[in-house]
Amino acid sequence: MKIVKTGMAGTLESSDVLVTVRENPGKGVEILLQSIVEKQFGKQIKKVVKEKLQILGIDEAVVQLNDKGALDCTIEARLAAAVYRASGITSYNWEKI
Amino acid sequence: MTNQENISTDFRKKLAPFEKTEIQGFLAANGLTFEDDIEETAIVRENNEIIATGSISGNVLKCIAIKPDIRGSNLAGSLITALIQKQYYRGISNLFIFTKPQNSSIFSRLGFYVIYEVENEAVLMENNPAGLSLFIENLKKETAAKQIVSSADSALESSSAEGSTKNISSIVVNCNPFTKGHLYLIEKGASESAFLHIFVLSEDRSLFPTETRFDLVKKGTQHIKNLAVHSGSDYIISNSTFPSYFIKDARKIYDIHAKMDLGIFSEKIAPALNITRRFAGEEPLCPVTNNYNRLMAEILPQKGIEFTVIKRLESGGNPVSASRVRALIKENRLEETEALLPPVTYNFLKSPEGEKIIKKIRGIQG
Repeated sequence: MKIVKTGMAGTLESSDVLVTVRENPGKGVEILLQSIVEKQFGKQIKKVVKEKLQILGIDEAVVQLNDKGALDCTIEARLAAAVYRASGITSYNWEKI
Repeated sequence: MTNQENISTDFRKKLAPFEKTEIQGFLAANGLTFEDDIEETAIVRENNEIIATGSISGNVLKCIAIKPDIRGSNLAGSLITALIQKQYYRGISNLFIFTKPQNSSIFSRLGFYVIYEVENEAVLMENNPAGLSLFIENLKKETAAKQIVSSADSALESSSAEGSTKNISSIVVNCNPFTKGHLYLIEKGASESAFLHIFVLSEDRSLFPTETRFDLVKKGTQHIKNLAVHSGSDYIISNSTFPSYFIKDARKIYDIHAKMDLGIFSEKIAPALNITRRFAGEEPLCPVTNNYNRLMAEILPQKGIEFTVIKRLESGGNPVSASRVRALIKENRLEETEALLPPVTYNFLKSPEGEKIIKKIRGIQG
């Protein structure tokens, strides 16, 4: 999948995360994390994001997360939604999501 | 604590008079005013009472306030989410907030980053941490593309040697529309510079749309090799779009706007392009622009940018100005504008697209 525009998903509500995915031509994956639990779970969150991006086949993107304590499954779901929106794809491969 | 179930968030494109009064009162209680250019307003009510509000105008979030006794309950998070999502569905994802410096920490927790702060007065924030650097990267690309062409050309000209001691300079223009006066200013600036960067304001509140203004400048300056025409984007801030809802003392608005716009220009943009000089046209007619020239003369040299005012081009004893062109169009004296306009602009006015704008000028002002 290729990122062609900015995609957003999620909220800034407690226990959620706002994910923004932008193009990053030629510069690989960049993760910008801002989290209320960054000290405790920063590494884990980045790991979840990297793995999910791999599953989705994204190797170039700026992923910005503003995390208000979301669980891993929430992060994955928000990320997938943002990536799909950013790629302009509206037919989903449900097995990969 | 607030009870979530009684809280409702609604968006309004146009506020009913009673609601507008209510919002204005709520903002006033929080030391803010409601701005005229607002496109949509979010109203958060609990049991019918307003507890929070925020508005959008273009890509700016503004007039944001939360009732003091419920701050800390992350209502700000819900409100900003609602505004961000609203903007996203309008197709706008790069967002800006102008606010008081003491509020910047609230917005930075909500994913906004400080671009520039005018000490104690105002701060400009953006939700894309790379926004400004992407803009600057793009300016460099546009410049490189022009410089390859211009150095190839100037190698053929014998007078290129003296160019190396000249400054790299800049002019910021609105060009509503592009006149011979602008062309004169640009030609003069280019002749006194090694390279000239022209920034066309990108605010879309002028009678001539942003794209048209930009195109006319670009086409009308094609014959000058040592310049690049850039869009001012969101980082050259026009006073017509500068939000002032959080500034209490109205007399300070112009000053704060100038400090912010010129601060970003001289501290962020100019160093990246090695700009050391800025030109402006003398402004005998418009007091606002004249005041801005005065502020530039005061602020720019402090920041290491030389400032030069160039005397206006005159025609028939009057300065050539875009406002005079618009006045002539309004009075149905289109032929007389030919003397004031470069062919590119005059021909545009004669085109079907130009006719639409002429009608708009007559309609709005006539």
